[in-house]
Amino acid sequence: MAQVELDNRGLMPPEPMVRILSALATLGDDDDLVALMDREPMLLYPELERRGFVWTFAEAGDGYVLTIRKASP
Amino acid sequence: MSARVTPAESPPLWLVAPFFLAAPAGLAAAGVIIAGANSDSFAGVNLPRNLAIVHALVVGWVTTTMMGATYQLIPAVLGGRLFSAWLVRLQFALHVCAVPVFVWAFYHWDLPLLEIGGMMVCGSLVLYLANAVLGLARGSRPGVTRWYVMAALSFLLATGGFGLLWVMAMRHALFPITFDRIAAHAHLGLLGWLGLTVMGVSYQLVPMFNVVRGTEPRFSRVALVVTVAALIAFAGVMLLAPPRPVRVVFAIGLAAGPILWGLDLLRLMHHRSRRNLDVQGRATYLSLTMLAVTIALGFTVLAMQVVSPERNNTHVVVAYAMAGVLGWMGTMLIGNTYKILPFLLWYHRYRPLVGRAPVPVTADIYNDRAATAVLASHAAGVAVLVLAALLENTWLLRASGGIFAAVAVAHLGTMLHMFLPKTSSRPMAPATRPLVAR
Repeated sequence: MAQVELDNRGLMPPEPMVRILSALATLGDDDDLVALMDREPMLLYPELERRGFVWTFAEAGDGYVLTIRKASP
Repeated sequence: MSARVTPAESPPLWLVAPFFLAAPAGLAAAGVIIAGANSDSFAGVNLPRNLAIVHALVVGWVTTTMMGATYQLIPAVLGGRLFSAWLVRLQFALHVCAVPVFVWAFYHWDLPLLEIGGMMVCGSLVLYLANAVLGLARGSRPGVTRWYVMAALSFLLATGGFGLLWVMAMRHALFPITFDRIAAHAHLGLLGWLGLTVMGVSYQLVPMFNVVRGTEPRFSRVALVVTVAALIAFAGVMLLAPPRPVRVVFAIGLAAGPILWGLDLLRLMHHRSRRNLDVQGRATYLSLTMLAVTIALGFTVLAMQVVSPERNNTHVVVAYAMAGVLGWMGTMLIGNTYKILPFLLWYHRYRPLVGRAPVPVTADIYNDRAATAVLASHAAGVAVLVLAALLENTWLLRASGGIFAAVAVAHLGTMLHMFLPKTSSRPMAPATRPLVAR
């Protein structure tokens, strides 16, 4: 199990979404993608659902942390 | 056809885009009417031609754009859900039919038709308000923008209600429509509906698109409270034809909110991470400059009313109103259109391909040079119009009308260009920043 980190702070929409979806293409079954965000990516969620991922979103310091992994079959 | 929009989904492209594409017709119509102006244009603010111009701009151009923008932002930024996609389509159809009738009736001073047009516009506003208010009520994200938009929607209802009442009063000779009553209706619409929407949405979009970090707005709540309180007081007092010194107090109240908002925006822009300004950043600075001009002209109108009330100062009132509508709000709208529409297109056309093929980013979807040329031409048009009004120069006024008609066509052209297929300007890669595996 690996944790992949992505710092999306300071990026303009839709770049955080592009980086996350691109990174998910190579994410292993048991891996977590942890993305640091400036704001909640409201429009990313439906796409994650369509691609079979689950996520949690939490405040962390002056930003947010989005953790994504593949949904259990 | 889906009757409801999925939670947190961006609304369908062809639900929102028609509002943006139809709106420049209002600017073009106003430009054509201005281009045909005669020397009577500065004889009174309530001349049919002047009222047709203002309503083509406000209801036709600015309001139509704002309707499209809020239909996009309520789900995408505020986490709400539009009540019904079908209702949006019905509202759009009614709106694009209502505006030409309304403007035509003003221009030809056809009071029976004006009453019909007014009812059609109010019908469109009610359908819009139903969808927007219910959409906001389902919103999952708290924040000051939500309160601004809610307040703006309330003032839209009040503006439409007053407007229709004024039309019916003229049509059926119920009571006289004085300059003060027009001023109350105009400020409810311009500052209450348009101003508060621009202010509230800017608090979301300016930090987002300019990547502002390490600072927060200081006056967002105070500016909202002050503006709402001043507007309610001003509209109430103006219906009672107050003495001139009282108006000075309320004018200061009306200006205070936008001034605080402007200071906030300057601070946010100062703390932006993206140092190179794109068209939205340039529009923000231009819009703030136009706001300063609008406030200065507003106080000039007031000073002239106090010092020499017998003198006709229509030309300064025209300069004040046009600096506010076309300058402050219009400039901000043009700038944000080049962010909202490309994002909408990107979301629907290219998002499904991310991670599977190279995709363009939003900056690839619109032409920044062409957009900046539209913005600069518009700003030049505003400057010429304000100068024409202050100098009471009919030829300059006509020239500004020609500029606005051309800007409308060019603005529409740059938006249609966004719909052409685009390719990525960058190689497919998750990041320029490191992707770290532990």
